[in-house]
Formats: sequence, structure tokens, C-alpha cells
Amino acid sequence: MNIKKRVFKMDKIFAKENQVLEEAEKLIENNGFDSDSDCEKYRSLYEEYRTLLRQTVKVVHLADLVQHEMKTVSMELEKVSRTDALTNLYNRMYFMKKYIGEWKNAVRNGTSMGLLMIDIDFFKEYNDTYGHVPGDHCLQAVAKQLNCNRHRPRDVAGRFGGDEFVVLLPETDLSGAEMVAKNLLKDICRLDIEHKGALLYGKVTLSIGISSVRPKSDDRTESLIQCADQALYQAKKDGRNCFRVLAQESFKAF
Amino acid sequence: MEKLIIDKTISTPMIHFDAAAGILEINGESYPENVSKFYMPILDWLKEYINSGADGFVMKFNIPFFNSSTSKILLMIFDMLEAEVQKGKHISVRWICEQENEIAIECGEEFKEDLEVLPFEIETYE
Repeated sequence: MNIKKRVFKMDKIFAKENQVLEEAEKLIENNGFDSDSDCEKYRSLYEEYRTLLRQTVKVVHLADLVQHEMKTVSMELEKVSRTDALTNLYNRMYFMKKYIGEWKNAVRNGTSMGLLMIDIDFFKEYNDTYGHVPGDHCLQAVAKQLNCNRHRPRDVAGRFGGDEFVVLLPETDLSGAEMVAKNLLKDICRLDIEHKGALLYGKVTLSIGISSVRPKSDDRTESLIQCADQALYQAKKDGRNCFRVLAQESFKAF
Repeated sequence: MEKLIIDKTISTPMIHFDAAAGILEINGESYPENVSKFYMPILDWLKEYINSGADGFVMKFNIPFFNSSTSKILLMIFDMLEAEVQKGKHISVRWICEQENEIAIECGEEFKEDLEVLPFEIETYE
């Protein structure tokens, strides 16, 4: 008896199903049935199974296609959701996620963590003098330098908003954080980005607030950020292009 | 034969089956919680339409996203139409997708690949 052996693409994961089909085909070809009507019934069941199997293989294949696409899109979205589009640094939301994670680590391991709050000096004047597009370029140049100065894999640099940046330094005490800040001030000066609106230096400079803490479980997580922010305020007050430190001892005040 | 018209929801497509006007359209995303509950009346309507002697019709599909169970339903529909064409009927399918929806286009090509006689046109729009 003739049977339609329409070949369809089948993945190796369906090898067993394929084997069942081949054995059924052999049975029909060898006519191993008591009667023609039995053979006809068997052939009809075989063809139905073949069609249903082809559908199943296709469903699995289509699901793979769609799931692969969704995974790709989901990874792209995840990257977009944690990145600041202008500077390519982490955005505030993702920075805070990393910050909380490192805070918990530090509490657990009894280690210290350092934080730099960074502001571009007279950035409003930069925008007023050169316009917003050069302003964006200035932000990008500073962000790039921040990223270059991030030497350890766990250090995190983020854009906090506007011209405010932040660098998180896990397992770093005040002297370590000071070293990072000192290098950063020097490297930004070396970029030599002209800034006529900054009368004192004539180029783009930074103010940096530093703090470090060995957090305890009952400390508030935001306190380190508030402390560094207070130090940044002091750096601006003291003439900019400098860093100021607010030590851990002052920490309880916040 | 009565029309079968179902409004689009967030997870089910619009169904517009009108025997008198010869319109058979499925339009919208398809990932119902209960696929068989949603599609069984549709399959029944289609079977009845075909059994009533309907010939020379076009089925239009514009389904930008569908889940695996829906793809099984679609395969069942295409196989049903393929069998009718093999019997000599004049039925065709238009698989319509947005130009940018590469996955929908690729799925259309996958469906088309298995068909021998049913005309299956993939059309894109901007």
C-alpha cells in the first residue's frame, strides 16, 4: 500500500517521534495486517499522527523564535533601564540599587565604603556661555573621565542628575576615597576644557564631597549620601576645584 | 449563516467573520488565558462555513504577536484550508504584518513552508 511520506523538517529532539513514524511506515509497506480494512485504518491513524506531529514540531519551533526575540528585547530594555542615555553611566535608579547592595555587603562583612559626590563647577554658566549642545559634550567628557578613573570592577560611577555625578567605592576608607578624588580633580584639569564663565581657572573643574562609613545594621542607608553631599557643599563654599571630607565620626549627625 | 464578530481585547484579536460579505478577518494580538475557549467557536464557525459550500474566499490574518497555543490553532486552520484546496476549492490566505515586525513575518514564512497547495501571501505595510 502506498503512503505519503511527506518529509518535514524535524529537529533531533524529535528523534523518537521520527522513529515511531518510520516503524509505522515499515509496517504499512510490509502489509503486516490481517485485512485490508485494518491496514487502511492503521494508515489513516498514521497520517493523522504525522500531521499532528508536524504541527507540534512547528509550534515548538515558533515558540523558540518568539522566545529568542523576547529575550533579546528584554536584555536591550534592561540595559536601557539602567543607563543614563547622555553619558552612558549608570542612571540614578540603577546606581541606588548597586549602592543598597554594597551597603548590605558592608554591614555583613564589617567593611567600609566610600562615596564621592561630584559637581561640575559653574555648569549653569557653561551652558549659558556655550549653549546646551556643548553643555552635553562637557557632561559626556566628564563622565568618560569618571569611567576611566574607575579602576576596580566593583567601583560604580553614576549620573545623579543634571551636572551631579556620584562614585561608589566599596571596601574603601576615607584615605582611599581621597586618593580617587585627588586623581579625578587632576585628570579633569588635564582635559583642559575651556570655560570662560569660570573666572578663576578658565576651564572646567569639579567640586567633590567625600565620605566613608563602616555601616552598622541600624544605620540609615541614605546617611552616607547625605554626608558626602554636605562635604560637596563645603567644597563649593571653599572655592571649588577641590574636595572636602566629612568623616565617619560626624556621621551620626545625619 | 450568522456573522461572528468579536471585539478586540488586550490579549485576544478582533474576529470579523461575515459569510454574506465574504469577510474572514482575524486582527490583533493573541495570547488568551484559555485559548481553546476563545478559539473553539471560531473553528466551529469556520467548519460550518466551509461545510455550507463556501468557496472562493480569502482569510486575512494580522496577528502581530501570538502565544504557542494560538500557533497550534493557526496550524489547525491552515491545515483545514489546505485540505479544502486539495479537494478543489479556491481559498487563499493573506498573512499581513507591519514591515518592522520581523518575527511576525518570519512566523508567516514558517506557516507557508508547510503548505503545498493553499496560496499563502505574506504582505507587509509600513
